[in-house]
Amino acid sequence: MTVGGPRGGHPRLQMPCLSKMERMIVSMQDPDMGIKMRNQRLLITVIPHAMTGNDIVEWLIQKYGISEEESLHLGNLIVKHGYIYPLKDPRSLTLRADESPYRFQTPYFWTSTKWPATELDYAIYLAKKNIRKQGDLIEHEKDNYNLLHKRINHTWDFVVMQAREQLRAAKQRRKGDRIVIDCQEQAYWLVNRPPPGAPSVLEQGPERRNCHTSRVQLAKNMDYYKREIEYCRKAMARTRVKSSICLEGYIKFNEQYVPHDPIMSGCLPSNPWITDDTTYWAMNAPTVMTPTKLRVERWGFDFSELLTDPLGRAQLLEFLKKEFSAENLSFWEACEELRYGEQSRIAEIVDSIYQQFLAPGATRWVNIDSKTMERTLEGIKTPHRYVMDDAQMHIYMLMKKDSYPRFLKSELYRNLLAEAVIPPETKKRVFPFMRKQRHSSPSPALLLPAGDAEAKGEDKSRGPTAVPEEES
Amino acid sequence: MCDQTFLAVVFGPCDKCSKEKPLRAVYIKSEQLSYCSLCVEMGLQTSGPNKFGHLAETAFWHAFLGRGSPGAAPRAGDAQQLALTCCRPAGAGGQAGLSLPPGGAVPGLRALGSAGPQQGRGGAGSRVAEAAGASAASPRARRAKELLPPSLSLSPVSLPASLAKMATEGLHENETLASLKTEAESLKGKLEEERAKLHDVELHQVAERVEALGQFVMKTRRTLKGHGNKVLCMDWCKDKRRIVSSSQDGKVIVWDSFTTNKEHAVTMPCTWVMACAYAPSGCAIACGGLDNKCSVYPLTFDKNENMAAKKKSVAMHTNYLSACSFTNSDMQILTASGDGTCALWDVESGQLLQSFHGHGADVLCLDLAPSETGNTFVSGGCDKKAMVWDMRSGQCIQSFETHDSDINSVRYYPSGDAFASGSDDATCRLYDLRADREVAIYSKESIIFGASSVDFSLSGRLLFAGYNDYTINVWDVLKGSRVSILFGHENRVSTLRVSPDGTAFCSGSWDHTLRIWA
Repeated sequence: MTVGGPRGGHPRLQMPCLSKMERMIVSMQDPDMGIKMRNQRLLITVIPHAMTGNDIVEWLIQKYGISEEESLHLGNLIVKHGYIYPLKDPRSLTLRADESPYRFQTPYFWTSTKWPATELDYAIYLAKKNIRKQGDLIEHEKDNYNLLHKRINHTWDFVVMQAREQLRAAKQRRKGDRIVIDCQEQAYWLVNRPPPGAPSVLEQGPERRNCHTSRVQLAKNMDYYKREIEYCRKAMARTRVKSSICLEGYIKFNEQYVPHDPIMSGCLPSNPWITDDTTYWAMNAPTVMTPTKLRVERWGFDFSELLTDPLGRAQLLEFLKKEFSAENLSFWEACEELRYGEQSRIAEIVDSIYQQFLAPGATRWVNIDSKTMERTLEGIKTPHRYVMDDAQMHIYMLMKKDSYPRFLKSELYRNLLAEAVIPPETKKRVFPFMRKQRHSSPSPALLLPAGDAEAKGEDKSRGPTAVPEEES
Repeated sequence: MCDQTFLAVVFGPCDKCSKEKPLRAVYIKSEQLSYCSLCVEMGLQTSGPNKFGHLAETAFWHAFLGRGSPGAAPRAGDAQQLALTCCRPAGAGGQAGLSLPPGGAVPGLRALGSAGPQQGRGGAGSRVAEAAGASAASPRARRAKELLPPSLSLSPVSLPASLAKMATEGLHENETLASLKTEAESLKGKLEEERAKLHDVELHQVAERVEALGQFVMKTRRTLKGHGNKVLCMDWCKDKRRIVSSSQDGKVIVWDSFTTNKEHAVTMPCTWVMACAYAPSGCAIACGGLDNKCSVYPLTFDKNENMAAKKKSVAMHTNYLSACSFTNSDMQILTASGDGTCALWDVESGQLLQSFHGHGADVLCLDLAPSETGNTFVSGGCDKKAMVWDMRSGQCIQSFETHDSDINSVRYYPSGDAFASGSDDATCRLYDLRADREVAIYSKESIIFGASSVDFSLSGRLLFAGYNDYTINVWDVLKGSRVSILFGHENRVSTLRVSPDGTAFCSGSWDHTLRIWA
């Protein structure tokens, strides 16, 4: 499986950022709105059409309305991808926000050019360098040179010939031009053949679009269009809600939940990640004696909030017991066990549900309407994972529309609200630079059996030490 | 001007063969000429490979199958049969009544015994497809599978005759193909009109009356170092402090990120472990990548036990695994793969419960809906589509196609009424499920690199997005503006998740580290 190395002849599919970068580069070179280029001095030589690092950073700040830090970061990435190259220190592709001179890379060497750099080109470049430096190449370039010499030995004459020709042509140019060509080429090869250890900007990860459909153009045949038509017809028939109503929903949700969002509103006593104090987790543990006020309030937002919180669910059970409808919750839980349970236990669970909740005269008989009951009993004859869905939905709605509103008005809930704690905010430490000791907590995997394992954020130093690595 | 001499022509007529091609500079006798790559190679007397043979072969297979594309969504009842035969080798799984052709699976071979009704591969094929019904897991579907004649399995002998038949039938299709195409296009247009009719206001307009966010300060609170290579994926444990992370070199590590201790480590037999997930109970982890599988490892602290020994191979795809997630229990896993499908598996037996076909290219990400009653999930892929699926029937309920490039990440809004997506086109978008449309785009001209990973804060007011330009941008979901940009990583951010209680978020990067921000 190719992992981002040079692929012979394939255009760079996975980098849409390059075309955007090129647009940016082009607008930078705009005669009116682009960067003002002038002659830059490099020691004694004068290089035309160059700019300083500062110019680049300033232009980016101006054009996109971003901060200096972001502008420097973006400029750095442009240089790393080889679209702008430094003249002063050509071996390191970084942007410095000072007077160091930079130039735009010629489009011939742009990273997104249709074909990736071939071995032949690299060989010619190394050969040129070798001749010029009389064998004194950098470590990795020397290794690459020898490797290529072995690999494409049959074309080595061509390589050396080309190298000599290019050097001869270069001698006839002015010094300024020579420096520019050298820097251009060097930048290009730094991007396409980075030294070992340096991250390559061209690396993309595993090749995508491996799905065979994209390779063969027969995808759009009759079946494809028939499916599209069927999908469109179904979609047209679907009921849609007006945008204003949907968006209003977000505003309401936002109002309700922002006070509960630790990143937005902070959390009391303090955010454990910031202060190293785990009291917040201890106070909001799944099973705790006195829940916090925010937590109890949250149960009032939506029925699902009450159900998903183990403490809330326990309180709901208490309430339902008083109303003699506790079997509803138990039934719902049993159905969840069926839906998300093991495939091999389906028949067993369905039978147990039937015996407990649906059979005539069952101890915890649930009150479902006759039609649903009939359908369910029929379905039980051939049990499958979703056979209880209708009945489960019926009971869920019953709890949500009937029991839940009563729960919220009940004395039980009102007492919970009254007794709920509001943790005091942690006082700012006098010596902020003294870090609090970070205690470990027992892993949920330690608590057996699996299923009722809930992590407790208690300050126990019983946590395990690092376990040696296991080989697969 | 010295510039002009070095702006060599990039595309134009070759100096040797005069064809319009991309050119490169060649020096012959001190003269700079422009040759196309073919002429350069001919000069070296090497010849390029002929790739057309391969394409023709796969084209034949697709014509034979009469389905056009193996990624085509079959009827719901077909799904289980199809996937059973393509995803598991013959002999595995008790319910499979069909066997793969001798010689192993042919790439793209899926339609064993369930060809579409037009091709009419014997009446039995199409009747069974209809009899299979809405739910693959229904008792009727199972009975239907038993009806299929075993002779419907492909053997090399029957190939040439049926192939010829397919070829001639293909000719008649061309006439109606054009009419179907126009019908599909006009329906799509009408659908867009319908969607637009109900769009009476923009999100940022509605959000005008919401208070603007103040100064936003988030810092790295923990840095987890220990991976020897690019971190590709991470997931939180429900205990709000433990995480599992996976990397390119095959290592999967479980950390207590609060203390930064490593608690477990496993080395997978493959590289590029692109997906990992923590089980709801906290007692197991799942991971997979280039091995095309999803494996579940129970977490054990017993020093005498080798974690890898208890490994369970659950999912089997025909291409890389890009994402995985447990459902509400430890016993079911949902996976997404580079073979263009998603699938739901039973962990204990490794059985495929449901498969989801419809994406036209690799599926890169998925997220389960937070609703208590809902049974849906959303997936995003290289076909630029985000699709919402019904887990029970395997059908695609809704689909959205407004991105310009691969969708790398999808995440539901906390209320479950919407979801956000991050894509290689450098934008993140918010799609509302009830309004059935895209309602917001989060983009900036200065952001040109793709978003690899997105997640909401607990209230859904903030959207954190990790990008390939090594930064994390924080967006105000309601107002559509960027709140903050976070620097720190030294290579692209590959994964980002908010902790279960919303106190912090964790980002993993190709710079080998994970960072916790709060």
